[in-house]
Amino acid sequence: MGKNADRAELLADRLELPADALGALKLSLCGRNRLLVENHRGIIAYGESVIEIDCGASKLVVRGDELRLAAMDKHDMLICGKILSLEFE
Amino acid sequence: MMKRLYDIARGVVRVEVSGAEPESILNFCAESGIEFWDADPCEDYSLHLSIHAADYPALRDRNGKNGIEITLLRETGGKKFIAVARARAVLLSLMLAGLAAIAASSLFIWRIDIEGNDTVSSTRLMRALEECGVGYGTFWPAMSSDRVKDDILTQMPDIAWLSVNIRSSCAHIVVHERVDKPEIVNEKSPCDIVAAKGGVIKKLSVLEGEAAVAVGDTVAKGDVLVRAVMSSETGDDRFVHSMAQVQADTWYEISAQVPLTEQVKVKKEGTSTQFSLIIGKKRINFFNDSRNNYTSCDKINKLRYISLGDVFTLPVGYAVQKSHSYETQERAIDEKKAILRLKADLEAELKSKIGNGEIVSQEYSVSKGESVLTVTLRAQCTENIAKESAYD
Repeated sequence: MGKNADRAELLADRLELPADALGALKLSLCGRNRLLVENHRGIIAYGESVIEIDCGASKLVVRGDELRLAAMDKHDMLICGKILSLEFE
Repeated sequence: MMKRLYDIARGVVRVEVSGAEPESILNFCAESGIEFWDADPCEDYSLHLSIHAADYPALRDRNGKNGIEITLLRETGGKKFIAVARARAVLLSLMLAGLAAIAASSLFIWRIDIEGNDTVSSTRLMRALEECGVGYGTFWPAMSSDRVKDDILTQMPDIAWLSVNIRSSCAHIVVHERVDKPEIVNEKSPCDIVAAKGGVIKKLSVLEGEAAVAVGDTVAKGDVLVRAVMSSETGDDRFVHSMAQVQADTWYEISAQVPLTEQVKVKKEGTSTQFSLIIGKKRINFFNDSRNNYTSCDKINKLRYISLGDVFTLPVGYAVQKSHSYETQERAIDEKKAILRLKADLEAELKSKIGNGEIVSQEYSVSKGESVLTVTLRAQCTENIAKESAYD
Protein backbone atom coordinates (compact mmCIF):
# COMPACT_ATOMS: atom_id res chain seq x y z
CA MET A 1 0.00 0.00 0.00
CA GLY A 2 2.74 2.32 1.11
CA LYS A 3 4.87 1.42 -1.85
CA ASN A 4 1.95 2.03 -4.17
CA ALA A 5 1.54 5.56 -2.80
CA ASP A 6 5.27 6.23 -3.18
CA ARG A 7 5.15 4.93 -6.70
CA ALA A 8 2.18 7.12 -7.48
CA GLU A 9 4.09 10.23 -6.33
CA LEU A 10 7.19 9.13 -8.25
CA LEU A 11 5.17 8.51 -11.40
CA ALA A 12 3.36 11.84 -11.02
CA ASP A 13 6.74 13.61 -10.76
CA ARG A 14 8.03 11.85 -13.86
CA LEU A 15 4.94 12.51 -15.91
CA GLU A 16 4.53 16.04 -14.48
CA LEU A 17 0.99 15.24 -13.39
CA PRO A 18 -0.80 16.33 -10.18
CA ALA A 19 0.10 13.72 -7.58
CA ASP A 20 -3.40 13.51 -6.13
CA ALA A 21 -4.75 12.52 -9.54
CA LEU A 22 -2.73 9.31 -9.20
CA GLY A 23 -3.89 8.62 -5.66
CA ALA A 24 -1.36 10.53 -3.53
CA LEU A 25 -2.54 12.10 -0.29
CA LYS A 26 -3.89 15.63 -0.58
CA LEU A 27 -4.55 17.90 2.40
CA SER A 28 -6.60 21.08 2.20
CA LEU A 29 -6.53 23.17 5.34
CA CYS A 30 -9.12 25.91 5.44
CA GLY A 31 -8.15 28.33 8.21
CA ARG A 32 -7.36 26.23 11.25
CA ASN A 33 -10.81 24.76 11.74
CA ARG A 34 -11.39 22.59 8.69
CA LEU A 35 -9.14 19.98 7.20
CA LEU A 36 -10.05 18.01 4.08
CA VAL A 37 -8.05 14.82 3.65
CA GLU A 38 -8.26 13.22 0.20
CA ASN A 39 -7.02 9.79 -0.82
CA HIS A 40 -6.74 8.50 2.75
CA ARG A 41 -6.57 4.82 3.66
CA GLY A 42 -8.72 4.94 6.81
CA ILE A 43 -8.72 6.05 10.40
CA ILE A 44 -6.29 4.56 12.88
CA ALA A 45 -7.30 6.44 16.03
CA TYR A 46 -10.18 8.79 16.73
CA GLY A 47 -10.37 11.14 19.68
CA GLU A 48 -11.32 14.71 20.51
CA SER A 49 -7.70 15.82 20.77
CA VAL A 50 -6.03 13.57 18.24
CA ILE A 51 -7.04 11.83 15.02
CA GLU A 52 -4.62 9.48 13.33
CA ILE A 53 -5.11 8.82 9.63
CA ASP A 54 -3.58 6.08 7.56
CA CYS A 55 -1.97 7.71 4.52
CA GLY A 56 -0.40 4.63 3.04
CA ALA A 57 3.34 5.31 3.28
CA SER A 58 2.97 7.31 6.46
CA LYS A 59 0.59 8.18 9.23
CA LEU A 60 -0.93 11.63 9.58
CA VAL A 61 -1.54 12.77 13.14
CA VAL A 62 -3.94 15.67 13.54
CA ARG A 63 -3.77 17.27 16.97
CA GLY A 64 -6.21 19.85 18.26
CA ASP A 65 -9.18 20.58 20.48
CA GLU A 66 -12.75 19.36 20.02
CA LEU A 67 -11.82 17.55 16.82
CA ARG A 68 -14.74 15.98 15.02
CA LEU A 69 -15.17 13.90 11.92
CA ALA A 70 -17.74 15.93 9.98
CA ALA A 71 -17.94 13.65 6.95
CA MET A 72 -16.14 10.63 5.62
CA ASP A 73 -16.27 8.31 2.67
CA LYS A 74 -13.97 5.83 1.01
CA HIS A 75 -11.51 8.43 -0.28
CA ASP A 76 -12.15 11.71 1.52
CA MET A 77 -12.76 12.91 5.03
CA LEU A 78 -13.49 16.29 6.56
CA ILE A 79 -12.23 17.08 10.03
CA CYS A 80 -13.56 20.06 11.95
CA GLY A 81 -12.40 21.55 15.21
CA LYS A 82 -9.50 23.67 16.42
CA ILE A 83 -6.48 22.17 14.62
CA LEU A 84 -3.19 22.76 16.42
CA SER A 85 -0.76 20.62 14.42
CA LEU A 86 -0.35 18.16 11.58
CA GLU A 87 2.40 15.60 11.90
CA PHE A 88 3.56 12.78 9.65
CA GLU A 89 4.98 9.72 11.33
CA MET B 1 -34.58 21.94 8.53
CA MET B 2 -34.89 19.95 5.27
CA LYS B 3 -32.08 17.65 6.44
CA ARG B 4 -33.92 17.10 9.71
CA LEU B 5 -37.18 16.26 7.91
CA TYR B 6 -35.26 13.95 5.57
CA ASP B 7 -33.70 12.16 8.53
CA ILE B 8 -37.07 11.81 10.28
CA ALA B 9 -38.55 10.33 7.10
CA ARG B 10 -35.71 7.83 6.69
CA GLY B 11 -35.28 7.09 10.37
CA VAL B 12 -32.14 7.62 12.42
CA VAL B 13 -30.31 5.14 14.60
CA ARG B 14 -27.80 6.11 17.28
CA VAL B 15 -25.36 3.32 18.07
CA GLU B 16 -22.46 2.77 20.42
CA VAL B 17 -19.41 1.03 19.02
CA SER B 18 -17.02 -0.38 21.59
CA GLY B 19 -14.02 -2.61 21.38
CA ALA B 20 -10.28 -2.52 20.88
CA GLU B 21 -10.48 -0.48 17.69
CA PRO B 22 -13.85 1.20 17.31
CA GLU B 23 -12.35 3.38 14.53
CA SER B 24 -12.46 0.34 12.26
CA ILE B 25 -16.25 0.75 12.13
CA LEU B 26 -15.76 4.27 10.73
CA ASN B 27 -13.52 2.81 8.04
CA PHE B 28 -16.10 0.08 7.38
CA CYS B 29 -18.87 2.71 7.01
CA ALA B 30 -16.72 4.78 4.64
CA GLU B 31 -15.87 1.77 2.50
CA SER B 32 -19.45 0.48 2.47
CA GLY B 33 -20.94 3.86 1.61
CA ILE B 34 -22.83 4.10 4.90
CA GLU B 35 -23.44 7.72 5.74
CA PHE B 36 -22.69 8.55 9.36
CA TRP B 37 -22.57 11.73 11.40
CA ASP B 38 -22.17 12.99 14.97
CA ALA B 39 -19.35 10.52 15.55
CA ASP B 40 -18.40 11.32 19.13
CA PRO B 41 -15.43 9.53 20.68
CA CYS B 42 -16.17 8.37 24.22
CA GLU B 43 -13.99 6.99 26.92
CA ASP B 44 -13.26 3.31 27.39
CA TYR B 45 -12.57 2.55 23.73
CA SER B 46 -15.97 3.38 22.46
CA LEU B 47 -17.63 5.93 20.21
CA HIS B 48 -21.17 6.96 19.40
CA LEU B 49 -22.38 7.63 15.90
CA SER B 50 -25.63 8.17 14.03
CA ILE B 51 -26.64 6.39 10.83
CA HIS B 52 -29.83 5.98 8.84
CA ALA B 53 -32.08 3.17 10.05
CA ALA B 54 -31.84 1.38 6.68
CA ASP B 55 -28.05 1.03 7.12
CA TYR B 56 -28.29 -0.46 10.61
CA PRO B 57 -28.59 -4.15 9.54
CA ALA B 58 -25.29 -3.90 7.64
CA LEU B 59 -23.62 -2.41 10.70
CA ARG B 60 -25.23 -4.92 13.04
CA ASP B 61 -23.61 -7.73 11.03
CA ARG B 62 -20.24 -6.44 12.23
CA ASN B 63 -21.26 -7.04 15.83
CA GLY B 64 -18.88 -9.45 17.48
CA LYS B 65 -16.34 -9.42 14.68
CA ASN B 66 -12.78 -8.25 15.47
CA GLY B 67 -13.78 -7.64 19.07
CA ILE B 68 -16.25 -4.94 18.10
CA GLU B 69 -19.49 -4.67 19.95
CA ILE B 70 -22.35 -2.61 18.54
CA THR B 71 -25.18 -1.50 20.81
CA LEU B 72 -28.36 0.27 19.68
CA LEU B 73 -28.85 3.37 21.82
CA ARG B 74 -32.02 4.81 20.29
CA GLU B 75 -34.07 4.90 17.12
CA THR B 76 -36.11 7.87 15.91
CA GLY B 77 -38.18 8.68 12.83
CA GLY B 78 -38.87 6.26 9.97
CA LYS B 79 -40.63 3.05 11.00
CA LYS B 80 -40.57 4.09 14.63
CA PHE B 81 -42.45 7.26 13.75
CA ILE B 82 -45.02 5.31 11.73
CA ALA B 83 -45.52 2.93 14.65
CA VAL B 84 -46.07 5.85 17.04
CA ALA B 85 -48.42 7.48 14.54
CA ARG B 86 -50.46 4.26 14.25
CA ALA B 87 -50.85 4.13 18.01
CA ARG B 88 -52.10 7.72 18.02
CA ALA B 89 -54.08 7.68 14.80
CA VAL B 90 -56.96 9.76 16.18
CA LEU B 91 -54.69 12.46 17.52
CA LEU B 92 -52.74 12.56 14.28
CA SER B 93 -55.94 12.71 12.25
CA LEU B 94 -57.15 15.62 14.35
CA MET B 95 -53.84 17.41 13.89
CA LEU B 96 -53.97 16.88 10.14
CA ALA B 97 -57.59 18.01 10.05
CA GLY B 98 -56.61 21.11 12.02
CA LEU B 99 -53.77 21.88 9.63
CA ALA B 100 -56.10 21.36 6.67
CA ALA B 101 -58.67 23.68 8.27
CA ILE B 102 -56.02 26.34 8.81
CA ALA B 103 -54.84 25.98 5.22
CA ALA B 104 -58.40 26.15 3.90
CA SER B 105 -59.39 29.05 6.15
CA SER B 106 -56.55 31.15 4.78
CA LEU B 107 -58.40 31.18 1.47
CA PHE B 108 -61.24 33.14 3.02
CA ILE B 109 -61.28 36.68 4.30
CA TRP B 110 -61.69 36.87 8.05
CA ARG B 111 -60.31 40.29 8.76
CA ILE B 112 -60.72 43.59 6.94
CA ASP B 113 -58.42 46.49 7.78
CA ILE B 114 -59.19 49.89 6.32
CA GLU B 115 -56.74 52.76 6.40
CA GLY B 116 -56.44 56.20 4.84
CA ASN B 117 -60.06 57.30 5.33
CA ASP B 118 -60.75 60.51 7.26
CA THR B 119 -64.09 61.82 6.06
CA VAL B 120 -65.49 58.61 4.60
CA SER B 121 -66.51 56.35 7.46
CA SER B 122 -65.25 52.80 7.72
CA THR B 123 -68.84 51.58 8.13
CA ARG B 124 -69.81 53.12 4.79
CA LEU B 125 -66.78 51.59 3.15
CA MET B 126 -67.51 48.18 4.67
CA ARG B 127 -71.06 48.37 3.33
CA ALA B 128 -69.81 49.29 -0.13
CA LEU B 129 -67.25 46.49 0.00
CA GLU B 130 -69.97 44.06 1.03
CA GLU B 131 -72.02 45.11 -1.99
CA CYS B 132 -68.95 44.47 -4.18
CA GLY B 133 -68.62 40.98 -2.75
CA VAL B 134 -65.86 41.62 -0.21
CA GLY B 135 -66.90 40.65 3.27
CA TYR B 136 -66.21 38.23 6.06
CA GLY B 137 -65.99 34.73 4.67
CA THR B 138 -65.40 35.76 1.05
CA PHE B 139 -63.40 33.25 -0.97
CA TRP B 140 -60.65 35.64 -2.04
CA PRO B 141 -58.96 33.63 -4.86
CA ALA B 142 -62.17 34.11 -6.88
CA MET B 143 -62.17 37.84 -6.24
CA SER B 144 -60.71 40.43 -8.55
CA SER B 145 -59.08 43.35 -6.75
CA ASP B 146 -59.31 45.52 -9.88
CA ARG B 147 -63.03 44.88 -10.23
CA VAL B 148 -63.63 45.69 -6.55
CA LYS B 149 -61.61 48.88 -6.95
CA ASP B 150 -63.57 49.91 -10.06
CA ASP B 151 -66.91 49.18 -8.40
CA ILE B 152 -66.06 51.14 -5.26
CA LEU B 153 -64.76 54.12 -7.25
CA THR B 154 -67.97 54.13 -9.29
CA GLN B 155 -70.16 53.92 -6.19
CA MET B 156 -68.29 56.43 -4.07
CA PRO B 157 -67.21 59.54 -5.93
CA ASP B 158 -65.55 60.93 -2.79
CA ILE B 159 -62.86 58.27 -3.08
CA ALA B 160 -60.08 58.98 -5.54
CA TRP B 161 -58.19 55.72 -5.34
CA LEU B 162 -58.42 52.43 -3.52
CA SER B 163 -56.35 49.28 -3.34
CA VAL B 164 -57.29 45.86 -2.05
CA ASN B 165 -54.38 43.76 -0.81
CA ILE B 166 -55.05 40.27 0.41
CA ARG B 167 -52.49 38.66 2.66
CA SER B 168 -53.54 35.23 3.83
CA SER B 169 -57.01 35.81 5.24
CA CYS B 170 -56.64 39.52 5.92
CA ALA B 171 -57.90 42.09 3.41
CA HIS B 172 -56.00 45.33 3.68
CA ILE B 173 -57.91 48.22 2.10
CA VAL B 174 -55.98 51.42 1.47
CA VAL B 175 -58.14 54.41 0.62
CA HIS B 176 -57.20 57.80 -0.79
CA GLU B 177 -59.98 60.31 -0.48
CA ARG B 178 -60.70 62.84 -3.19
CA VAL B 179 -59.40 66.33 -2.51
CA ASP B 180 -61.75 69.09 -3.63
CA LYS B 181 -60.45 71.26 -6.43
CA PRO B 182 -59.50 74.73 -5.31
CA GLU B 183 -61.75 77.55 -6.48
CA ILE B 184 -60.35 78.95 -9.69
CA VAL B 185 -60.09 82.72 -9.54
CA ASN B 186 -60.56 84.59 -12.76
CA GLU B 187 -57.77 87.12 -12.59
CA LYS B 188 -59.16 89.13 -15.49
CA SER B 189 -62.69 89.84 -14.24
CA PRO B 190 -63.04 93.31 -12.67
CA CYS B 191 -63.19 93.34 -8.89
CA ASP B 192 -62.84 95.79 -6.00
CA ILE B 193 -60.77 95.33 -2.90
CA VAL B 194 -62.88 95.70 0.21
CA ALA B 195 -62.08 95.59 3.92
CA ALA B 196 -62.51 92.13 5.38
CA LYS B 197 -62.45 93.68 8.87
CA GLY B 198 -62.70 97.14 10.38
CA GLY B 199 -59.47 98.93 11.33
CA VAL B 200 -57.06 101.79 10.75
CA ILE B 201 -55.02 101.67 7.54
CA LYS B 202 -51.33 101.43 8.32
CA LYS B 203 -49.82 100.57 4.97
CA LEU B 204 -51.33 100.48 1.48
CA SER B 205 -49.67 98.76 -1.50
CA VAL B 206 -51.85 98.95 -4.61
CA LEU B 207 -50.67 96.78 -7.51
CA GLU B 208 -53.75 97.21 -9.71
CA GLY B 209 -56.76 99.53 -9.38
CA GLU B 210 -57.30 102.93 -7.83
CA ALA B 211 -56.93 103.49 -4.08
CA ALA B 212 -60.10 104.69 -2.40
CA VAL B 213 -58.55 105.20 1.05
CA ALA B 214 -55.28 106.55 2.42
CA VAL B 215 -52.94 105.59 5.25
CA GLY B 216 -54.43 106.64 8.57
CA ASP B 217 -58.06 106.30 7.42
CA THR B 218 -60.45 104.31 9.56
CA VAL B 219 -62.45 101.74 7.63
CA ALA B 220 -65.35 99.50 8.51
CA LYS B 221 -65.92 95.96 7.33
CA GLY B 222 -67.01 95.97 3.67
CA ASP B 223 -65.69 99.46 2.83
CA VAL B 224 -64.12 99.70 -0.63
CA LEU B 225 -60.36 100.10 -0.29
CA VAL B 226 -59.30 99.86 -3.93
CA ARG B 227 -61.67 100.51 -6.81
CA ALA B 228 -61.78 98.45 -10.00
CA VAL B 229 -62.61 101.49 -12.12
CA MET B 230 -59.57 103.44 -13.25
CA SER B 231 -60.23 106.83 -14.81
CA SER B 232 -58.26 107.85 -17.82
CA GLU B 233 -57.58 111.37 -19.10
CA THR B 234 -57.36 110.23 -22.68
CA GLY B 235 -60.06 107.59 -23.00
CA ASP B 236 -62.91 105.78 -21.30
CA ASP B 237 -62.69 104.37 -17.79
CA ARG B 238 -60.88 101.06 -17.52
CA PHE B 239 -62.12 98.17 -15.40
CA VAL B 240 -59.36 96.15 -13.81
CA HIS B 241 -58.96 93.19 -11.47
CA SER B 242 -57.80 95.07 -8.38
CA MET B 243 -54.85 93.76 -6.42
CA ALA B 244 -53.51 95.26 -3.21
CA GLN B 245 -51.96 94.58 0.19
CA VAL B 246 -53.67 96.62 2.90
CA GLN B 247 -52.07 96.36 6.33
CA ALA B 248 -54.30 97.74 9.07
CA ASP B 249 -54.40 97.90 12.82
CA THR B 250 -57.30 95.81 14.06
CA TRP B 251 -58.74 95.26 17.52
CA TYR B 252 -60.32 92.16 18.92
CA GLU B 253 -62.30 91.32 21.98
CA ILE B 254 -63.01 87.64 22.38
CA SER B 255 -64.51 85.95 25.41
CA ALA B 256 -64.73 82.37 26.55
CA GLN B 257 -66.70 80.92 29.43
CA VAL B 258 -66.63 77.83 31.52
CA PRO B 259 -69.09 76.68 34.21
CA LEU B 260 -67.74 76.89 37.76
CA THR B 261 -68.80 73.32 38.43
CA GLU B 262 -68.30 70.16 36.42
CA GLN B 263 -69.68 66.64 36.38
CA VAL B 264 -67.10 64.00 37.26
CA LYS B 265 -67.33 60.22 37.08
CA VAL B 266 -67.05 58.35 40.35
CA LYS B 267 -66.67 54.60 40.14
CA LYS B 268 -69.34 52.59 41.82
CA GLU B 269 -69.31 49.01 42.91
CA GLY B 270 -70.51 46.93 40.03
CA THR B 271 -68.51 45.39 37.24
CA SER B 272 -69.68 42.81 34.78
CA THR B 273 -67.84 40.86 32.13
CA GLN B 274 -69.64 39.25 29.21
CA PHE B 275 -67.86 36.70 27.08
CA SER B 276 -68.83 35.65 23.54
CA LEU B 277 -67.35 33.14 21.16
CA ILE B 278 -67.13 34.22 17.52
CA ILE B 279 -67.23 31.57 14.82
CA GLY B 280 -67.35 33.09 11.37
CA LYS B 281 -70.34 35.40 11.36
CA LYS B 282 -71.98 33.61 14.29
CA ARG B 283 -71.72 34.89 17.82
CA ILE B 284 -72.32 32.57 20.74
CA ASN B 285 -72.97 34.48 23.95
CA PHE B 286 -72.01 32.95 27.26
CA PHE B 287 -74.41 35.14 29.19
CA ASN B 288 -78.17 35.25 29.53
CA ASP B 289 -79.02 38.87 30.04
CA SER B 290 -77.67 41.19 27.37
CA ARG B 291 -79.47 44.23 28.78
CA ASN B 292 -77.59 47.03 30.43
CA ASN B 293 -77.84 46.51 34.19
CA TYR B 294 -76.40 49.87 35.15
CA THR B 295 -77.84 53.33 34.63
CA SER B 296 -74.41 54.77 33.85
CA CYS B 297 -71.45 52.64 32.90
CA ASP B 298 -68.28 52.52 30.83
CA LYS B 299 -68.14 49.69 28.33
CA ILE B 300 -64.87 48.30 27.02
CA ASN B 301 -65.18 45.90 24.10
CA LYS B 302 -62.38 43.65 22.98
CA LEU B 303 -62.58 41.45 19.88
CA ARG B 304 -59.78 39.05 19.02
CA TYR B 305 -59.46 36.48 16.28
CA ILE B 306 -57.04 33.58 16.59
CA SER B 307 -54.16 34.48 14.32
CA LEU B 308 -50.48 33.91 13.79
CA GLY B 309 -49.22 37.35 12.84
CA ASP B 310 -49.98 37.99 9.19
CA VAL B 311 -49.56 34.34 8.28
CA PHE B 312 -53.11 33.29 8.91
CA THR B 313 -56.22 34.35 10.77
CA LEU B 314 -58.82 31.83 11.81
CA PRO B 315 -62.53 32.67 11.69
CA VAL B 316 -62.65 31.82 15.37
CA GLY B 317 -62.25 34.36 18.10
CA TYR B 318 -63.72 35.80 21.22
CA ALA B 319 -65.32 39.02 22.33
CA VAL B 320 -65.19 40.38 25.84
CA GLN B 321 -67.33 43.26 27.03
CA LYS B 322 -66.48 44.75 30.39
CA SER B 323 -68.90 47.17 32.02
CA HIS B 324 -67.83 49.40 34.89
CA SER B 325 -70.61 51.19 36.70
CA TYR B 326 -70.20 54.84 37.71
CA GLU B 327 -72.17 57.80 38.95
CA THR B 328 -71.69 61.47 38.26
CA GLN B 329 -71.03 64.04 40.93
CA GLU B 330 -70.94 67.80 40.64
CA ARG B 331 -67.64 69.31 41.72
CA ALA B 332 -66.08 72.77 41.65
CA ILE B 333 -63.52 73.20 38.89
CA ASP B 334 -59.88 74.09 39.41
CA GLU B 335 -60.11 77.77 38.47
CA LYS B 336 -56.39 78.32 37.83
CA LYS B 337 -56.26 75.46 35.39
CA ALA B 338 -59.50 76.56 33.76
CA ILE B 339 -58.19 80.13 33.28
CA LEU B 340 -54.95 78.87 31.71
CA ARG B 341 -56.89 76.59 29.40
CA LEU B 342 -59.28 79.37 28.34
CA LYS B 343 -56.37 81.76 27.72
CA ALA B 344 -54.69 79.20 25.49
CA ASP B 345 -57.95 78.61 23.62
CA LEU B 346 -58.51 82.35 23.13
CA GLU B 347 -54.99 82.91 21.84
CA ALA B 348 -55.39 80.04 19.39
CA GLU B 349 -58.71 81.49 18.21
CA LEU B 350 -57.14 84.94 17.76
CA LYS B 351 -54.26 83.49 15.73
CA SER B 352 -56.70 81.63 13.51
CA LYS B 353 -58.59 84.91 12.91
CA ILE B 354 -55.57 87.02 11.95
CA GLY B 355 -53.89 84.38 9.81
CA ASN B 356 -50.41 85.68 8.93
CA GLY B 357 -50.95 88.90 10.88
CA GLU B 358 -49.08 89.91 14.02
CA ILE B 359 -50.30 90.44 17.56
CA VAL B 360 -49.11 93.87 18.68
CA SER B 361 -50.46 93.74 22.21
CA GLN B 362 -52.83 91.59 24.19
CA GLU B 363 -54.33 91.49 27.66
CA TYR B 364 -56.66 89.18 29.48
CA SER B 365 -59.34 89.92 32.05
CA VAL B 366 -61.10 87.39 34.22
CA SER B 367 -64.54 87.82 35.71
CA LYS B 368 -66.51 85.43 37.84
CA GLY B 369 -70.29 85.29 37.65
CA GLU B 370 -72.74 83.22 39.66
CA SER B 371 -72.18 80.07 37.75
CA VAL B 372 -69.62 80.82 35.03
CA LEU B 373 -66.06 81.98 34.78
CA THR B 374 -65.42 84.36 31.90
CA VAL B 375 -62.03 85.16 30.38
CA THR B 376 -61.83 88.00 27.89
CA LEU B 377 -58.96 88.67 25.50
CA ARG B 378 -58.44 92.18 24.15
CA ALA B 379 -55.77 92.44 21.49
CA GLN B 380 -54.40 94.86 18.94
CA CYS B 381 -53.10 93.25 15.76
CA THR B 382 -51.67 94.20 12.40
CA GLU B 383 -52.94 92.21 9.45
CA ASN B 384 -53.85 92.30 5.80
CA ILE B 385 -57.54 93.21 5.56
CA ALA B 386 -57.79 93.27 1.75
CA LYS B 387 -60.45 91.01 0.27
CA GLU B 388 -61.54 90.73 -3.34
CA SER B 389 -65.16 91.55 -4.07
CA ALA B 390 -66.81 91.21 -7.47
CA TYR B 391 -67.42 94.54 -9.14
CA ASP B 392 -71.13 95.40 -9.39
